Amino acid sequence: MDDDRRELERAGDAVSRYSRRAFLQAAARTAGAGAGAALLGPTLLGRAAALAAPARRPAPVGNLLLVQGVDAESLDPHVTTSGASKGMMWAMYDKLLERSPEMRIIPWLATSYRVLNETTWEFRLRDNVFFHNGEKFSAEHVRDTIARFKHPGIRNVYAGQLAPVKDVEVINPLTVRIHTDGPFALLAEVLSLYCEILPRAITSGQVDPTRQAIGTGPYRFTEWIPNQRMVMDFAERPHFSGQPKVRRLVWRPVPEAATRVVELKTGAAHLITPVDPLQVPELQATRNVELVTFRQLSSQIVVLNMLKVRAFQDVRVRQAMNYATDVDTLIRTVMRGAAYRLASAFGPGIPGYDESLQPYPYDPERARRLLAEAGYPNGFEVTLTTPEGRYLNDRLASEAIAGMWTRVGVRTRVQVMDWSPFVQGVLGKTHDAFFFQQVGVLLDATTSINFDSQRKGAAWQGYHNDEANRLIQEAPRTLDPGRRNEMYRRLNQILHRECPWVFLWNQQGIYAIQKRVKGWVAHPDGIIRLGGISLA
Amino acid sequence: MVRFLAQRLWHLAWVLLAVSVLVFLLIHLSGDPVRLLTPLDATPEDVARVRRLYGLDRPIPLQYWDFVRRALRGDLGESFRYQRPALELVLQRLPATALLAVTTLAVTIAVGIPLGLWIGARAGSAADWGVSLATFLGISLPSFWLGVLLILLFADRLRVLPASGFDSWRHLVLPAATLSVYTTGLITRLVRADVRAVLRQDYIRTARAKGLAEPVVLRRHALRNALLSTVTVLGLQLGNLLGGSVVVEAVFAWPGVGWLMLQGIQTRDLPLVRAVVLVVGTAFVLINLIVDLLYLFIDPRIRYDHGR
Repeated sequence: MDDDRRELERAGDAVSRYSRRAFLQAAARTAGAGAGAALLGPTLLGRAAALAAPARRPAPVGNLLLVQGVDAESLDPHVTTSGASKGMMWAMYDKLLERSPEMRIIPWLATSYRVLNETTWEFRLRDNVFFHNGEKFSAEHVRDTIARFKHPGIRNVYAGQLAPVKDVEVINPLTVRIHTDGPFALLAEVLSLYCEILPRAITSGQVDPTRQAIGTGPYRFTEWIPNQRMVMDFAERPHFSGQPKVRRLVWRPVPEAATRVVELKTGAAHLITPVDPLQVPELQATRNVELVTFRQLSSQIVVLNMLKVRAFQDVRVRQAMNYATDVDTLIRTVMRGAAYRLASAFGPGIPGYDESLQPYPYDPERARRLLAEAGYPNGFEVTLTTPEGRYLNDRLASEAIAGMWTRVGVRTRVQVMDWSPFVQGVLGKTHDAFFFQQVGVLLDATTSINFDSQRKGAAWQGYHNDEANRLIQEAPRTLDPGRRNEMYRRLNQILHRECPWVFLWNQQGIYAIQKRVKGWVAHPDGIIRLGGISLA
Repeated sequence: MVRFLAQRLWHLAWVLLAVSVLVFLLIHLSGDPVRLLTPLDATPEDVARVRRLYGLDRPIPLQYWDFVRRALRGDLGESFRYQRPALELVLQRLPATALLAVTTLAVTIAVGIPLGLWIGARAGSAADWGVSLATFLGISLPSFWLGVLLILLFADRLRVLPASGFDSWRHLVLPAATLSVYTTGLITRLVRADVRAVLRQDYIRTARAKGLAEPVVLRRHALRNALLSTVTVLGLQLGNLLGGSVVVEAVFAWPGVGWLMLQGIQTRDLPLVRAVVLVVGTAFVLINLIVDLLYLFIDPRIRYDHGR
């Protein structure tokens, strides 16, 4: 524990001496030292993030031009959901906690937190932080922001994430206690991904956040012309993570992948995302362009509907479907190498990831044997439903999978659907099997939606296991992060054995950037964070 | 004339009513808008709350009635996605689309009509064959493919024009060129066919027999008579263009109505789709009204108050 403390103190020093990036890396290492930060105690994270006066730095220079596939959904951070929007919001707004590039929780507007008892968390807040309108950040902002986040009148589709929060108590301007209506182990996780802190001007309704953004982030809002550009300039008061090195950010949406590439090659963009793997060779051959790849968190899977297809109720059949799917070949051919094989339900970065689990090897003989043992020596018929263009090469992959399944006797027809009816079928549990991307598995809460036979969420299609249900329900109430992680690991092992899904891959996220952009670090959640970035 | 205008405006009201019902039903029949508005990992409680918030938990006829009442006050509802008045969003995008549409139309008129007239008067010549082939290609090329091709050539290879955006006249060139290739091809072929037909008429023979110079025959007699169908098609094209070219706007990131419509459909943003369709529908009907009025100037035989 003393080692942890010393390392956290060093991380805190790093913030004042070096840069935000150095801080992120140091804090990430530190947070990683314990299985989670929640129980480390207030002083540890507090000291880690305690800031000395910022050192004198050169003034920010240059315009950074970022081109994404889509525009922000709104200027209101509590309403935005897409990764593209969140990147924009987090340049202007801060949350209480953040995520390191390794997806570990790190201090941000809150310098520390501790669990006082099963239903009370105390957060120590950073001093001398100001909103762009001059308001000084304090505990009252946290209270009012959480109240707004949960308010039923705000179109916040994630309000339920903070549903267990019963009360927010202001102890003093820099201390706040959050009371929950029961043990709520995911509070820090939620606060590191949601609930951007707002000034009183917004929470009191004086300023419309869909027209004016006012945060504490390193950049302040300048203009947003939807579908055209969003412009931000550096906030003149230095940010606690370090003063930005780039003066202005210009975000533009360009929906067409080929156009984005030309924008990068011609210098009209410094960074583009997403990049289609088909365009990788062209970009690799382009001077002054660099590709940054990362393993995405979302899992690409085929969901087997046990409610619709009787055969899928037998675990041997579900295993056979995994043995019958040649995932390595799919990754090599259909995905052109831009994917990472998934052994089970959770990939790296997700609570419960277990690196000891091995993927099902491609073994059609074994698949046939298992089908025969399960009473299907002649196989059966099934329809594999896929959207087209929603996920990378979705139709192509589904057609290849159908061929592989048919080879072992499961005669598979591919049905291509528009996104809307596809979603209706997923939610109505009417597809036999479907090609799907399980997004947002970052939060433990999502796990329950997908595997809990009581909640029956989107990707739940009839799977039931008593022990899995018990783990899903107990884990979010288990405050000890070590124990909680162990429960998810156990759950992952059960899911690996019983395979309610055919496990395929984590897709590779690709950013293409100009080499003159320095200090770029990709996060596996695909959300752009601009700390430490500069233009050479 | 006044009676004619009143009648057309009365028709407009009915068209808009029918369009609004259709859009309303199509959006609801094609899936639950709330499930596309909320992430798939949203909790059922959040989904139910959003449904209530947007008023989508009420029966569809009630929702429609509410819409009509508001629409009569000029309120087309608030976009689910942007949380701004849907009408405001459409009107903000309309100038970009109008600029693209008018430029395309101008190019079409400036190139398509003279070219059609020229080859129409030289039917069967090498020039006729060449231009006909080129215009056939023009109307056959998918605009998506052509747009990307022009970007690769002029923005990537030659670096003389920007690939996308909406900041200066240079950004207008490639999307307008992409759209003009089709419309110019169409109008050239139409004018050519009409001129060829008109040139076979007796009054042309008479005009030539009177000793009129060929350019005068072509301009005053052939073109003027061929213009009726051309103006009709130009009006329809302008209406289409004002609806926004979804593909071209998306390829060139042109912030117009078409791209907005695409986003609205993808996210089942009911008020936004409704507003786009109503505004574009209104524009379409009004343009056709203007075309009908233009007939009066093109062809003096046409009278809308005939017999009264």
